[in-house]
Amino acid sequence: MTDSTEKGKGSKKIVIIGAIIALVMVAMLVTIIVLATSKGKDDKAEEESRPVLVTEENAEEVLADIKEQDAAATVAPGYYTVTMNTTWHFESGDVASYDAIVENVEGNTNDVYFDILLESDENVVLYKSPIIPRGGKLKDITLDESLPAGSYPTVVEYHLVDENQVSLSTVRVGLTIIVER
Amino acid sequence: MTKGNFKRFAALLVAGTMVVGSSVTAFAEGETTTPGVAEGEGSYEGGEMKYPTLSVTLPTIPDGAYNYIADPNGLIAATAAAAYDGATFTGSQGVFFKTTDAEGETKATYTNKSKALTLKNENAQDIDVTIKLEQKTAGSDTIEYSDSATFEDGDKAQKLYLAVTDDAASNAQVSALGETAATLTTTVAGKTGNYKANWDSTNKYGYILDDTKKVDGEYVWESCSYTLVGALNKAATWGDEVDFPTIKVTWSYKEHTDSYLSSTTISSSSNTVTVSLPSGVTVSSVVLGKATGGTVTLVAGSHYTVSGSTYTFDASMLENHSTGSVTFTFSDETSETMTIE
Repeated sequence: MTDSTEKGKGSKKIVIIGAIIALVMVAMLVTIIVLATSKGKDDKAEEESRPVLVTEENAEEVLADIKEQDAAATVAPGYYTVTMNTTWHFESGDVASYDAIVENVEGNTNDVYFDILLESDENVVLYKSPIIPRGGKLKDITLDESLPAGSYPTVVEYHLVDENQVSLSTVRVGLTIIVER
Repeated sequence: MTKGNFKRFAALLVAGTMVVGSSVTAFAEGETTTPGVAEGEGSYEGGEMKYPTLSVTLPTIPDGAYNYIADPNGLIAATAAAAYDGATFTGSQGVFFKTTDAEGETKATYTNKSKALTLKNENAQDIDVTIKLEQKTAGSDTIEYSDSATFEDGDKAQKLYLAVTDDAASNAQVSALGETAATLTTTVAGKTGNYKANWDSTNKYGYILDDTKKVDGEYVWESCSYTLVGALNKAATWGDEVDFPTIKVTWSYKEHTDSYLSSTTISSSSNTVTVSLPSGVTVSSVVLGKATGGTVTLVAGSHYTVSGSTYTFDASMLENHSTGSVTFTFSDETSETMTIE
């Protein structure tokens, strides 16, 4: 009598455990389906935006409160402090420059990105930068278009952006690119 | 683990630590001493102390465009600027730039000169600043660029004058937009006094800004300013469907170096220039920039001759390319341009 009662109780436990496992699996399946159907929209948004340059120095700043960032801006509205060397050297057209530096100093009012355009034909875009947050610095720049040896007058077109990476204003600065071989 | 085994393990661990610790001096790598001999090494602190990357503050423009209004027929004045919410328009040249925005009850203002475009040199070094005004998109084929803000009596052509000027009270520099870009160059002094020598473990030796040199909480820097100006030939017939060109401005700057050329201009009647180069620097190329566009690399012996440091250019070539340019490029990656008068 006791054995059959215990067997009955054991069977009941197995059923309960099986039911719980089944419920968990169903919940996981539903979650996967929901995430999969919403993934496409996120991808589209990501494709339209530029990556943000994150460094050890600015990782906290990227996540910091916007009001605190505004308080640190010292450059007057309508102005942008350009900090870069104006001649960049590349050992060859398909490797990173060994001396290019671009900074978005913390005193500026906005994050920026820049495009490098060939001066003789500004439809030729040699490089598109990531978003550089205030306080960020970009080095080791490799052109998107490989150039043969020579000296190239170019234009760096900076775009000051808002929190949605929408360009608010621009400033254009000359740059000489020298490809050595 | 039983209590007895634990004791044995602990005893072995302690004994092993003692053995290793007492062997440290015996394991010291490559260290030998010879009695009576002292050794030392020379170290080098570094070369010339450097200033930070060049930094300039420039005006930005919304929408990437320097907008202007062309009103050769005086429609704005005739309607008291009704299309512009009663803004104030000053000037009779027919071209207007917005100088102030409307704010509350205060109306916007427009004049034939743009707001000052100011560049601030935030460096220790003197820098040469160039502002370049160019056409971004072409206008109607009937519009010609004028090199003057005034037009001759009887001139009926649809002429547009757009120029960049430093607007100095005396001897103002002006460069008009034409088939080629309008450019002006100014040297802006640096402020070495705003910097101090420094060493830190990250950047090693270098100059940094000295907070004690701030005045009222800010550093004092030198700057230069330019304005855009415009005018239209009102004697021309300006009908409907006229498209005006759009314009763009590009800034360039570099650390100032004394000029290698004895002159910034050359002509058929004054066709020589002296080129004074520092040791190790040579002329890489000499290029003619045509007024109509395009360039030609000039050849020594054909287009010019060299005697010592004097370059003599073919006078007839200069005559044929008046308002063009001659650009010298040097082996130190600098270049200088002379205007052909």
